Amino acid sequence: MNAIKIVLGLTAALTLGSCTMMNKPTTYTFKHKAIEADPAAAGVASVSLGNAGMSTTTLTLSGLTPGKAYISHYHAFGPASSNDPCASNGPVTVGFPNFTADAMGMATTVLSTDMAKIAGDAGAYINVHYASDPSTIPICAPIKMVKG
Amino acid sequence: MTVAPNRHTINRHTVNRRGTLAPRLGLSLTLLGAALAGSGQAAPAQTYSVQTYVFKHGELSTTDPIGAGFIKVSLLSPEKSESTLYVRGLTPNTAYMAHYHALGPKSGALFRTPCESNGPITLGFPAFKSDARGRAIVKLSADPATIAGGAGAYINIHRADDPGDIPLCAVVLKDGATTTPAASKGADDTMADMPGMASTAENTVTIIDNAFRFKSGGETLKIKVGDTVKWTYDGKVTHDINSLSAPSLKSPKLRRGDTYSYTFNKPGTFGFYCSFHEGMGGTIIVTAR
Ligand SMILES: [Cu+2]
Ligand SMILES: [Cu+2]
Repeated sequence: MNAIKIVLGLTAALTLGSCTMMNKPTTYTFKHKAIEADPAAAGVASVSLGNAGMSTTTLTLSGLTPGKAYISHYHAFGPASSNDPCASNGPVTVGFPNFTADAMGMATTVLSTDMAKIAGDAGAYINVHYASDPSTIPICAPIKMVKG
Repeated sequence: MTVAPNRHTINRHTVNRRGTLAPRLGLSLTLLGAALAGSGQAAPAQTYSVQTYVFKHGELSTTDPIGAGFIKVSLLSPEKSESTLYVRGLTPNTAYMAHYHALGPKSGALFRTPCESNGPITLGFPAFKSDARGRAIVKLSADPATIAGGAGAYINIHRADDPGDIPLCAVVLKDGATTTPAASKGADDTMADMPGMASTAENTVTIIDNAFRFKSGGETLKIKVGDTVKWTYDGKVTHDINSLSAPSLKSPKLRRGDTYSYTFNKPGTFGFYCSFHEGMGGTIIVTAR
């Protein structure tokens, strides 16, 4: 009985710690879009798989406008391209918590979500938008390069 | 996911952005309006007219099967007329030509409309290219005498690389027309007024900040094949319209004052979404007539 309780307790702890890293994270690099906004913006998305099918994605960004509010999303592969996810205009799959760039133009945001939600075409790219005008997308990280 | 094999045979769409298309459309109308008003200027004492003729698809042509449009001929003065073509459903980004033709040598008994009379070219429109959505607006100024009566019996449109294939033709000659010219339109004329482009008020989707709202209420819009849905913009931030199930349903970035229309020519359930906003989407269910 006790042993079972301990195992359950451990599982609960892992679940609560949501997406405890079980393996080396995969890193994706943000690329600047062909627009004038935030010309020095750059960063990486690091995706770790946890237990129970969970994933944790950490965005580490720099070169943003200091003090500016941003939003970021996982997007599914869209209809506008089949080999350039960032140009495919896909629907938002999951949103990252909103964030604001610090005085140095740096920011991080962390999303924990079901791996299934962002698997395959559902998580084809991550982009970063101005919160004030989401159609301004300074950077985008392609994740799945080919549709389907 | 159903991917349309050829968006131009399955669906049609237009964008009317206030500030781009509208002023171009408005130009001739403004000129005409000024002439009509005779506003204190030395406006010639003359009866000015606007006539609209509808393009018909050539029976012998399989090119551009959804091609359609009309031509508006405005008499601006005794010496000046302006003919403007408004066409859609052409092959996108393709070079076209359009000509006024004189009534051909075949006698009236041998053809049903002047379009079949094989007449010589009277006057050519400036060469033009359809836009990315298969639309074009082309203007020609001419001495009215040049295209009067049998000299300007019909206007045809063909691809620059295949002048023998005539997808569209409009009869201009009075009494030669088997179709009644459509009534001329008012100053708010837009591409949306073109045949088949009309959308009913119920088929309107309002874009607000970070949501789509159907005028008819509810979560989904139910329409029939051939119906046009019009999105009107009522928000502050930029949105767009995309669809995974109908990839040709695809607007540019929309801003205040913009509208986007799309004609559903296939039954099915079509989701659409804004690519900038989480959870901003809607569903249109298209059923057969
Ligand atoms: Cu996004
Ligand atoms: Cu939006």
